[in-house]
Amino acid sequence: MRPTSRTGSGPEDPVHRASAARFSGMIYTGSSDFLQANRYFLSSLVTAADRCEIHALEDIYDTSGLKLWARGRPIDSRLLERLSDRTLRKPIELCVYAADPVASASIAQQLEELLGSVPDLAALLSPCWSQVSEALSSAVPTPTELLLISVLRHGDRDLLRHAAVVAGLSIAAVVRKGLGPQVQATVGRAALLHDVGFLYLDPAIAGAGPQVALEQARLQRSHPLLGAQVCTELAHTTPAISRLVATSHERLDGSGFPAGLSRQDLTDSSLALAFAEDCTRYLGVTPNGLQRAATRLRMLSHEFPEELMDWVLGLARELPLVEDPDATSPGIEWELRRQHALIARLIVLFSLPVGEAAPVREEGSRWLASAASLRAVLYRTGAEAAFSQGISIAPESRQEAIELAALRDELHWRIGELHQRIEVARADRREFAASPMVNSALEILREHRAEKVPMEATP
Amino acid sequence: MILLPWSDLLCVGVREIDEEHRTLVHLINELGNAGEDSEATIRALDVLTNYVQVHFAHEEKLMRDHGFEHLAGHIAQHRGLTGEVARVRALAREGRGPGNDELLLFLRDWLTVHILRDDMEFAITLNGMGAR
Repeated sequence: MRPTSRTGSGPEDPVHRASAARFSGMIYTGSSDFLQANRYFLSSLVTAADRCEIHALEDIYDTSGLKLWARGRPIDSRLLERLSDRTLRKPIELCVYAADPVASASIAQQLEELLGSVPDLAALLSPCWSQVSEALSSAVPTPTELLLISVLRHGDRDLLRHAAVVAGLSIAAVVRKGLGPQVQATVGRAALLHDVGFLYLDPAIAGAGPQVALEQARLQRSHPLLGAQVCTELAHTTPAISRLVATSHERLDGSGFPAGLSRQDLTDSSLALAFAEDCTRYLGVTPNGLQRAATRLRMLSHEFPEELMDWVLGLARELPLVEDPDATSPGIEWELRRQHALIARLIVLFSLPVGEAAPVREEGSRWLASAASLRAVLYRTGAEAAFSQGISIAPESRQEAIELAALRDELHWRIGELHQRIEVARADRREFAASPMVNSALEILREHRAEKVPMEATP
Repeated sequence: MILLPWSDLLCVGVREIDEEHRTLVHLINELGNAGEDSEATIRALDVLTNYVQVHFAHEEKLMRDHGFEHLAGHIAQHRGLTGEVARVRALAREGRGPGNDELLLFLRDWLTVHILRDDMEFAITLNGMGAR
């Protein structure tokens, strides 16, 4: 029988099981690793301290009793050298505090300002702005939570803008679901922290998308669990918040990461946060972001609850379309044809796992399912039928152009994710490294990644 | 059991070429169901020998007619594959040929490399010139 707890964090909890399995001996095994300050976090902390007031909360000692920093002293770049190779008595996150932290109310205010410049966001948030604002403003974060939020904002890279948008959308999603103010506030707090794991990773990884190198891919996919661990062990947030952070990239159908959880393991709040996170890939990033997000949701409609998708789809129909140079590029058809050919090649390959070891066949069947779901997208949109008859899919309206651009971008993203999974499997397991099917798949995927739109397909 | 169902997914968008590719996919499915039956391997190789001659000649004519710029590369590739099929067929007739699995792998790789990459590229060029 499956564990029945939906908010618990005990050893039976699926997230914790996944955490233990994935992190054992890989990134860290417990809070003792925080006793040596993480260099990426430290760099962001020092950068943030240059932009806002961060002071030592207490004398900072290493384990030999050497005093490294005095209580009350502002943090500056000398901390990098002082803490280098030192094991501390307490994690640095618990020894410093933000004297003028980014207040919850100011996050709400900045988000409100964004509504003025991002119509997609305004369409989603304006109808329930009072609840969103109230949920954000009413939060009472722990001191370390405040420190982390300040570092997210003022560190080496501003990660808070994205987090604030995700927070606003997550709250709006739970409001829509009819969940009360306490859930709204919890989801908002979790959303602000959902990418906190990135503070502990090479900044090149954060936001790099799926087209990254193997080790980066591995770390990128683990950042929600790392974030949850930071929340639990350092920020001392509630188990519900840590769990929401851990599940912020999961999907209803099990296709998310890091644990591949599915419906029975995810709460309405988890899905609201994951949904908001996914939508922000488009909102305010590209012209017609809401329409692109809606197209993406229609294409892969099994990943999120229907009522959340209906919300975005309904609003997307109402918003007027704007100029979108990327969507009218003639190179899109060429790119889609290449994606179609790639998906076909992978499906043929994974359909015929002749002579492969049992674990490779088993994993190959999952890859086949992923490739088949991408093929289904091409089929449903009519692109496959057009290509099979040699018919051009040049768009006849702005709406069609936007849908094709969204299709291309989503396929690009998903192909990158599949590529990552295969690279990781090959690197981790000997039988995968020796598999002709795995090596052929990687050859095809690498060749595809290296391809550039030819001159004749560009304007 | 059909290992690889024929579908629009595998079409390159040139009707005559797609019909011929369909034969190849049929052959893959036959081999997949033949187990270790060596007679089936020889039969498959006979079909394949005939197939490569007809299909490649047809493809090369289309390429020539439409002035396809990568024609020379395709012809060289066709010669290589034809030679390989003939060699394997001769070995099979002497009882030293590949097993069905090996042949299946050969066809799989052919499909993933030759048809779904090279022929697709040709088809895109051809369709731009109105051949459907």
